[in-house]
Amino acid sequence: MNTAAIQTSWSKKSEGYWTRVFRAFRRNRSAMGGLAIVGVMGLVALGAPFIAGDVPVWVRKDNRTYWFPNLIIYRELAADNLYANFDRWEPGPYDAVIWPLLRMGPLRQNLEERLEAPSVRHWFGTDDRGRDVFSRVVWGARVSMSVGFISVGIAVAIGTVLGALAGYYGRWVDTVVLRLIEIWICVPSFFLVITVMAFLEPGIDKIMIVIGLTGWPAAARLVRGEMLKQREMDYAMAARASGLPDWRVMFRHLLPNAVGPVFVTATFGVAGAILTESALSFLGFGVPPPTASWGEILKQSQFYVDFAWWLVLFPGLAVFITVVGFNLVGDGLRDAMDPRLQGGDSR
Amino acid sequence: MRAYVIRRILLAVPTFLGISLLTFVLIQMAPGSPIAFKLRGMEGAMRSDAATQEIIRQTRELYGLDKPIAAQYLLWLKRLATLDFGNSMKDQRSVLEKIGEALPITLQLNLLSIFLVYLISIPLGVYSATHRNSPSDTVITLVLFLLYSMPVFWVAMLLILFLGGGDYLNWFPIYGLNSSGAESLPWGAWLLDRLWHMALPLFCLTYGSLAYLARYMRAGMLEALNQDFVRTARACGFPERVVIWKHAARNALIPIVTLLGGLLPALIGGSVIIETIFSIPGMGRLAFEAVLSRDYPLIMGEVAIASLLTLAGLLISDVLYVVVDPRISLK
Repeated sequence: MNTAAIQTSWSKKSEGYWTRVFRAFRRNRSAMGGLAIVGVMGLVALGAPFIAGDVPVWVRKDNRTYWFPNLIIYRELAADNLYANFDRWEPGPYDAVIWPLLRMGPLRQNLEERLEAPSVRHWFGTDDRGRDVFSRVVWGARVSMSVGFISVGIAVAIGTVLGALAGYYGRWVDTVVLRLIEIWICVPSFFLVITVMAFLEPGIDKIMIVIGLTGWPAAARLVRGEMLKQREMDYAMAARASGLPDWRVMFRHLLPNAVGPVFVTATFGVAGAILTESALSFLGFGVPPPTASWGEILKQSQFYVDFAWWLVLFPGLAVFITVVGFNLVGDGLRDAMDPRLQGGDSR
Repeated sequence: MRAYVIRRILLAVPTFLGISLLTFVLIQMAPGSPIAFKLRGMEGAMRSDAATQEIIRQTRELYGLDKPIAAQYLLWLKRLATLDFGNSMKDQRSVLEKIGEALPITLQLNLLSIFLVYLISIPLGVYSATHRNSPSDTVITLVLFLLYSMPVFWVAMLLILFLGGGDYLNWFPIYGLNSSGAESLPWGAWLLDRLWHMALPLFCLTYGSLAYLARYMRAGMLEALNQDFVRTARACGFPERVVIWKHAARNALIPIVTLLGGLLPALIGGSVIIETIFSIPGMGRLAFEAVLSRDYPLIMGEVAIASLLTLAGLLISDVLYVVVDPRISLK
């Protein structure tokens, strides 16, 4: 890179940096593969009511058309007590209905089909209450993806604010935050999580908060380190000199330049949070039954581990593939942001 | 050197205080008092009888609940410093005694696991780095990456399913640490029996950290091999073996040593899952059962002891860091 190139890339620096990262990321085939996995899992999570469910996507009943009763509760349909009994509903001559791809809700029990091995009817077999495992795995994606993203969101928010304060103000603020990080690292987080979960009523919101509260030190460390660098830069001094309040200098001017590495940790963090959630549900401290979650299906498998390979294989595979996806994206992002790997050398 | 160690230990004191405060807040955060916890499991009629009143009195005394909150904290701090966590609510045995029985088992598993992790990951990382981009490096890197992403309870369940009896192979026991009646075996047979029982849990505890560390080692080694001193060593005509192991690997090892501190919390957390699945009576299973039965003093004792162990681990790795890298100043 010659001097002129350096100057042009510097003159529109923030945009140039992200464009470059994006280009490096796009060139990385395994990272794009990871992104595809994450995308598909996200679609499965969002589209679960269209993939597998008991409630129709579209209903025409008594000369009225209902769009997406699987997403919206209609008072008229609820009045007929249809939501729980759609599978027993017999459409009249002028009624019509469009079902999800698979007419198999995650909660529908069928005691005549208990613990069946995978078949054409039940792709992933059934569990001990005759519930369809494929449907449960599809709906479990909702739990995993939402816990992954929201808990990491909480962790990154806390970590970024504390790290920014520590790096910007230094001195005693820095000392306090660093001590806090060390304390947090010393308490084995999984221990802490199950302890807190034991005190609380189970619920997905609590899992998100607790995982988020244990995960912030990584982001805090990174932001602190970047802030230490950024605050010494000329533009930081210029921002301060123009009389802007501290919080504006910190969050509007310095932070956008300091958050790059946080995206990498956040991506790995989502993978970690999904693992923690499924481990919690596996131990019985997670999402309360009968809600479908990957860890919860695996928990059921413990009682039938002599033969029920489908109860072990499929939910675990779902966790594994999702975690691989996020880790691939994380690796790709890290390589794309690493200036030493820029240009020519693609691994 | 000694000054550094002392300074580092002194720095651990505020951290210790912080841990005590965190665990104390945990106690306060619990809905209702510890007494409410004790009573939750009891029948309504029992609540008024004399034995229950006795329990309430004991608990109140143990936690100093009638005192102001600052005094309660000081009391907790004192108990933490003397490792006195009271009695387990389940069987009235001292918490310290119960932990004392469980801890050696967990340490035995975890130390063996750490040993295996380092024993395998270092040569693997070095091999991978020195054969960079060869087919074997590609395969190793891929396998390590996949291993790293596998949820440990899934691997454990798969192993139990396919190697632990039932419809499939029956190669390994899946329950406990010894066969029944193993005490009467001669020590050699006893050891074999113990190792046979430990095989599956040990594998589950090891593979994740192993993959993580080997990836780290490979990256560190690649960086070291690009350094000037390696080129110099080669130019001096040292054999490649000496260059790799004596000059490059030693430098790549430095960050690996410090990861020891970070491995500990992960291993202790992993013990909860592994020991529960394989019914091993260690710290992890104790914690799981304590949480299940809301055995309050036992939970707090577990969290405190596990945190202190981690603190000690971090301390050791910090000191090791200075020992292995003479360039780090001791200030």
